[in-house]
Amino acid sequence: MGDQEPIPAADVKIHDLVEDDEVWRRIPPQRFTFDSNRGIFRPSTDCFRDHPNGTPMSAFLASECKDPVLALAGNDGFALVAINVRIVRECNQTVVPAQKDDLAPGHVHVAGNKSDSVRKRFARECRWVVEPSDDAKEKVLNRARGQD
Amino acid sequence: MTAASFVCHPTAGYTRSNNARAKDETDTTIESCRPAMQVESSQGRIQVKVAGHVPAWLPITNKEMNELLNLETDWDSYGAKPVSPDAAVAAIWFLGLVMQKESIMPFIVPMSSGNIQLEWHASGVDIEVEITPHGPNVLSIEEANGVSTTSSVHGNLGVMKQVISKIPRR
Repeated sequence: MGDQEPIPAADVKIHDLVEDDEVWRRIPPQRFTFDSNRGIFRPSTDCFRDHPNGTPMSAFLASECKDPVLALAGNDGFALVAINVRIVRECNQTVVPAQKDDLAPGHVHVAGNKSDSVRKRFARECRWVVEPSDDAKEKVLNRARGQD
Repeated sequence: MTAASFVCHPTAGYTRSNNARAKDETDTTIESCRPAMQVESSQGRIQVKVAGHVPAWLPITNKEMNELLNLETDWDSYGAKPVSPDAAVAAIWFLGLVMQKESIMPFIVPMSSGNIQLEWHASGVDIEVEITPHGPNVLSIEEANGVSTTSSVHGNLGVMKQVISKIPRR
């Protein structure tokens, strides 16, 4: 499953977002690291870029998608992170509706300039909804320890 | 020079590294630990030839790069491009320049653009280097004291030396 051609949908309504709302973003198993400085597993900053075709970054609105399994459908081994809407707004990003027939409910775009500092903040302040597999985490930890 | 066939030769500095050498002169020169290395991509695989000592990071890195080259279009589910073999070659070449004997291995992260990001997050320093098919591009360094810099690396010897000096060590 891919989001190569997400279709902006002006007729899709987003309820009044509150700052406690979250957007969810899938994380492939190749794209998280162990941050020894903070003692946490976290996604790479590159996970939070706009689509290569210029479309804003795809995500799911948690309050509409509701089920992480739906957000990860067809993407075995992927993890899922949540970014608080307050953080999204503080980074001068806007959550706008998007729609694609084969996607789960709550498909949105996070629009705005994804500067280096914005991507770093997303990567450091997101929270895991579905964590990477134990095997994937062990591989990353071994790298962080200098073992292989 | 194209990324598809970088050839690095040892310098006088490297020759000295095989002898007893004062520690404080080993760490701040590009030449100090550079292996004689030929890196090529052929039929979607990376091949590395090294004359003499094979640095510890190289076999692991080469294996990981070749795994990344197996990623197909849309591997991230958001329309990512396949990893560029030339970017993989350039990444190995770059590591050949900056890695020292005690340097910690970076995380090797595929980017949605097909480029490769090398990341270190240890010893109070966060380093990210984007590697394109043409070589290192953007460097970001954040230090424990809050100092943050983002620089263009391409062809910038001073920035390369900065990377060497900042890479965390065991």
